[in-house]
Amino acid sequence: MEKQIILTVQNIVKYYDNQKVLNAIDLEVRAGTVLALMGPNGSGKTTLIKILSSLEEADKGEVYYQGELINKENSLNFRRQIGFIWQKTLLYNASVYNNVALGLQFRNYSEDKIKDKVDSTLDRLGIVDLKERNAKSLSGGQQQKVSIARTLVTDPQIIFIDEPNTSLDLESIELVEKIIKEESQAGVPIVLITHNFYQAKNLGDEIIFMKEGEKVTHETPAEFFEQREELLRYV
Amino acid sequence: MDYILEGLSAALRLLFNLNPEIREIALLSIMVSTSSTLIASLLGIPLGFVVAHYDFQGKGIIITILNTLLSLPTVVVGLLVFSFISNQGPLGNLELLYTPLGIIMGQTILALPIVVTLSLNVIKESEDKIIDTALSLGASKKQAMILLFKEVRFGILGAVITAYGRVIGEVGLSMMVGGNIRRVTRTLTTAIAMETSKGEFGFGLALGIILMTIALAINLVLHYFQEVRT
Ligand SMILES: Nc1ncnc2c1ncn2[C@@H]1O[C@H](COP(=O)(O)OP(=O)(O)OP(=O)(O)O)[C@@H](O)[C@H]1O
Ligand SMILES: [Mg+2]
Repeated sequence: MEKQIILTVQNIVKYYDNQKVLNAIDLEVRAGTVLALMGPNGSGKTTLIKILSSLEEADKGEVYYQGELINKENSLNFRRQIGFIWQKTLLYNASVYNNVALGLQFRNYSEDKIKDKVDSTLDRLGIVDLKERNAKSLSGGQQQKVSIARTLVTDPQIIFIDEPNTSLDLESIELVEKIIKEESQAGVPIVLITHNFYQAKNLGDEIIFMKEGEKVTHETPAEFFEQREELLRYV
Repeated sequence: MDYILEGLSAALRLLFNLNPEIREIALLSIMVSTSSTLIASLLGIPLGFVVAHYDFQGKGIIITILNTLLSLPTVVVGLLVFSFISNQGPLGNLELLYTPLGIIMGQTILALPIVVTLSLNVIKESEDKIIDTALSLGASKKQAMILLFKEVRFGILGAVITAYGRVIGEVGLSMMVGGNIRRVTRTLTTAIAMETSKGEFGFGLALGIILMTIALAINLVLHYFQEVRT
């Protein structure tokens, strides 16, 4: 049975300073699947997921969430359904607890609810002991974990991850991979940008390869690695 | 050496006895500089935000003007203000020349470009990432803005303190626009310049010690906030 379509984008075009960085991108994101986005530096991967998550406006094209066209009126509501883990994390000058609580405060959760959810999420990532530390004083890897906690705590219905491996040690990479598996098994679709083709192969249900703002391929890892070996030298 | 030591002991005696004239001069200086810094901040922080945040025609020119003002000697700003508020100047009928209000006006012009450019830099440096991250966490535009201000508040405070340091220590403008009139417009810096040239070294030194203490306090506060920031 085909999995349910959660997100559809059609004919996305994006310019930065008269330079076309995305050209006619179409794609679908389905429930419980991991979509791996690969491609060389500057090929438009980050720009694409910023448009998919309503952080950036496309110059042309549409994004549909569960069949509904995203526009100015409903984009805040849409943004509150998604989670985004950045390539370079930015934590705020506050305790780990307050950083993780932020998304829930934006959504006007009660203090009690916030406390429960933050505590259980810190526990899930094994960083309960960092709770009272200032987030800015943490190591790169610890910060990345806090930023993952900050995203998961809001129970996102789609998760976008931009290159999670930067500044993580092996153990932490495994933790991220475990979480990606858990979330996708729970039905949450995940769009994962990665330069690591083993990761794309192991975690991905589908692989999109981009080059110069164009979608070059969109297929399963098996097909991809059978036929497209030559693309990998770009990554 | 004796000369310096004698001056120092005279200075300490004056300070210890809370000499009323010294107290008056110090209070006027603090009042004038605090007012001008406050006005410059009320105007300058929003202006810095607008220039950092929005793209508009003439933005480049504004930044160039601000940078030029930043490096102007205080006497040149004094000259400019003087020409406006002297009897024949366009604002002559307001009778601001040789009044504390006149000095406040001039010092505001000195402080404004400092507040604007420094807060502009602080906001520009961190704005995109802070806003993007907040939006991705489900913030509304307004919630993202509030978070931005919370994050840059120490940097902006640093800009305000730097501006205060510039105006409390300047002498050229206060002299030209204020005229160093006893009990009216005599500030710490203009009094130091005059008393010392008059040979009242101890008196000048006492004022100098106050000024140095203020400068030290300013730098300690600045240092503290920069530490907290990072
Ligand atoms: N805010 C911006 N202003 C101008 N140009 C931009 C901006 N953001 C991205 N670009 C340009 O758009 C193109 C695509 O950038 P993007 O960050 O999407 O690439 P990427 O595939 O994520 O690269 P990487 O693997 O290095 O992260 C690049 O040429 C980049 O210089
Ligand atoms: Mg990128």
